[in-house]
Amino acid sequence: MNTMKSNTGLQSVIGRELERIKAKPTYMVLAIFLPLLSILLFSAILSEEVPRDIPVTVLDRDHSHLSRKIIRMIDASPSISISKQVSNIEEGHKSIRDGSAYSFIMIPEGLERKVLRHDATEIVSYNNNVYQIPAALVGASMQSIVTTTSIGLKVKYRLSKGETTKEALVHAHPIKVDSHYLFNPYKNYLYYLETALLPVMLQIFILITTIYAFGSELKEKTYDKWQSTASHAFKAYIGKAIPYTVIFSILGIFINIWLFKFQGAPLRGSFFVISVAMIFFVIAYQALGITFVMITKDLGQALNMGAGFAVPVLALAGFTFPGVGIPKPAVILGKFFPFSHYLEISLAQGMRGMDLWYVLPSFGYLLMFCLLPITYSIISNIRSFPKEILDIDSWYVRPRYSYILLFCLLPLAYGIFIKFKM
Amino acid sequence: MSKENDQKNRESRIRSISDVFCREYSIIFKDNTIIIAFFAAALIFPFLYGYIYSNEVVREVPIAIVDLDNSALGRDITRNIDATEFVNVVLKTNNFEEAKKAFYNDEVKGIALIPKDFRKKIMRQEQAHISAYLDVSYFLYYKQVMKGIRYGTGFLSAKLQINNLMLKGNPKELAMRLRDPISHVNKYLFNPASGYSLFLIPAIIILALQQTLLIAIGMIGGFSREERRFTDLIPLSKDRFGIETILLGKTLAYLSFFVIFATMVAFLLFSTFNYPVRGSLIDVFIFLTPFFPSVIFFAFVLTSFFKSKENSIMFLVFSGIPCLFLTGVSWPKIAIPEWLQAIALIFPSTSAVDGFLKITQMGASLSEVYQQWAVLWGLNVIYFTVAVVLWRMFFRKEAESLSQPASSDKKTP
Repeated sequence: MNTMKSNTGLQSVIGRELERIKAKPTYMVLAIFLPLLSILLFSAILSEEVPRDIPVTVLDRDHSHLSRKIIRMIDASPSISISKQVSNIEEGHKSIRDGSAYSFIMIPEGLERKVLRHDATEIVSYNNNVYQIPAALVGASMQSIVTTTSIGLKVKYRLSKGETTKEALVHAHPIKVDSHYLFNPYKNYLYYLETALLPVMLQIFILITTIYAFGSELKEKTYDKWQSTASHAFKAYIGKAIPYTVIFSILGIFINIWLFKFQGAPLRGSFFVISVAMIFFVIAYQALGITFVMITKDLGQALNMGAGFAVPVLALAGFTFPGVGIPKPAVILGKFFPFSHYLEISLAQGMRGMDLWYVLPSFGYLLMFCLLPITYSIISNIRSFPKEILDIDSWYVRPRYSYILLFCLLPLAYGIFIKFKM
Repeated sequence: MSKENDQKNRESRIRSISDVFCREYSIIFKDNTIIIAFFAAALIFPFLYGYIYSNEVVREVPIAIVDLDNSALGRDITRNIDATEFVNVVLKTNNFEEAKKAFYNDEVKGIALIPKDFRKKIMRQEQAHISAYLDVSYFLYYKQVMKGIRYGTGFLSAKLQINNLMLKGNPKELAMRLRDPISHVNKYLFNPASGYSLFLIPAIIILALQQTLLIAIGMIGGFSREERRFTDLIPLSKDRFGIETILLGKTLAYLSFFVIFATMVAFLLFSTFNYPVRGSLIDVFIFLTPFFPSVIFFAFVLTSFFKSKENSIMFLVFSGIPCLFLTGVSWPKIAIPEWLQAIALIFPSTSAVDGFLKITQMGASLSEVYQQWAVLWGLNVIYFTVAVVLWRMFFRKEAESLSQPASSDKKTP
């Protein structure tokens, strides 16, 4: 029909949007500067792979050769750093309360004496489990140090009884547990966190920028001017969104390059698949932003909605706390966020190296989100924007869009089918 | 026009803190979005997070055991590992590939491997090995799986050592003591069950309160600027301590409106999820006293940069998650570079969460969190001073533009 005109239409919408972006620095700040700042910020926060030199306090009640040897071992351990040796228990507990130490280790009186007499004795580590990561690290290190010391003592004893070194070692430590780290050879919690955090930050900006871009047309009453730039409302929306799609896709792929190539996050699958998923991710959140503006018809409220949607996502995606522990309704709630599906793909391709079939359902979900504005306006035909999104010269074109919607329900159906099969 | 008359009346009336106070209240209730911002975030987020993490602990982590040895000893170990509360053996196989596949499919979170010559080595009195394959990406699983495997193998190891010592002629009792010259006990304080929400939720409450206040006050400020509703304050701003009066009046309004609400939320939350409060409540209140004003003054400083009411949400939303990480609860503070920790002090939440956690979860007394308290007071002083300066500049500019003839219809971006 008007193919020539609609091509120009799309271009002119894009051109208009670029003008708007140039005119207001807000867009550049939101779409480029702040996201980059966030990436840098988290890279800085998580720059130390594993917490080292966790401060602890020690109470040595024995003052023997053995106790001093153990204390030297503790200080030498890479995870632990002795900040102070205290002289009584109360001081030790206080050091935990005021935060100067994460753990307080107590070496009992008569340690060496008891060891020589083969009497039982024990070293106690009080770990501040409000901060679970340091507590677990110190706990594990201390366990290892005391076990090693014990084995050494046992070997010495056996050597004194005339066993050979080899015999002594075996008898003191018959079964040894070797740990292998399947995914993170450096005990690196960082990959895990960063891989989730950076996309979370990105989606916040995608939502806010999109809502602002579309909502400000309403607020500044330039809606009609915008719509008239294109021959068709549909093209007006797409054209307006495209510049941001490009910007955020570039940012998103940059994030992935940063994560997988520079930060060394494990990538056992295909980078291409993750990149495609990232583009879907960007479009999905843009679509959500547009939908929020459509629903609320007000910039302020749409922003509220967007903010409320963007922030709890990390918890709902079940990442900081393993998905096993989260109550079922919350897991289902998590599926309503495109981030959860993107994360699924990112994990499957990154850490787990699974093949494409496995992640297709997630792509399907993402696609559903991408089509949300269309879905919404079909459903709420009358209550959509003043100019109906499907308002076109003749209504016979309408069925065409329904076909697209049906087509995109297919991946979802496939996904449900797969889940039931599993 | 009656509008001018009204304005004149208003101008003559707003001369004291209480006038500003009343004025603020009327603004708060004028725009729906502002109310929503105030209540929604502070109310919903903590409860949402509390609910999500309400299952607290990860127990019975599913693992696989690959038994290449097929001996009674191997089965013994499998049983012992399964018997621990830390792990649950959901897959027993003699094919490592199968276990690996289950691992990649997320059906198991760890694998224990009993090698082929396990029994032989034990019989020949050589050191035998068990391999543990772990998933460190889920930190909480890793701890449990290691514990399960260690405890499980520990039984057999102890038995072997004791038997061997008895063979050498040591009486059983002595043998048992010889096996473990020095034992080690890890006591996990304040959170013995390693509950996840215990440290996260108090932090989220404080953070949600801060973000809500920042955004809401920002919105009110932006809203006022857009609709030029601050003109009635201009005469007061010219007074000697006019700006301070304005700011303090606003502060009192926000404080009164918000703090009661915040306290209710906190009580509700703590009782719903049964969080302990180990310190004294008085200490908590005294500690948090400088927190709210510091956030409000911080908001005043930021508000002077927001020209419309949407700007505050737009530019503040993203700060929530970074602030959470900078408080040191999701990622330990010692692992954060020191220069970044220093910058983090700009946010009242950093110090407030620190002290709040210490008092409520660790039973610290006020004197033990003196440093954080001091920082909060310091922030109060700094932000108030800066706010006064910025607002004075703003009001001066506005007063000038008002007195100029061609000052009508300024379109705000």
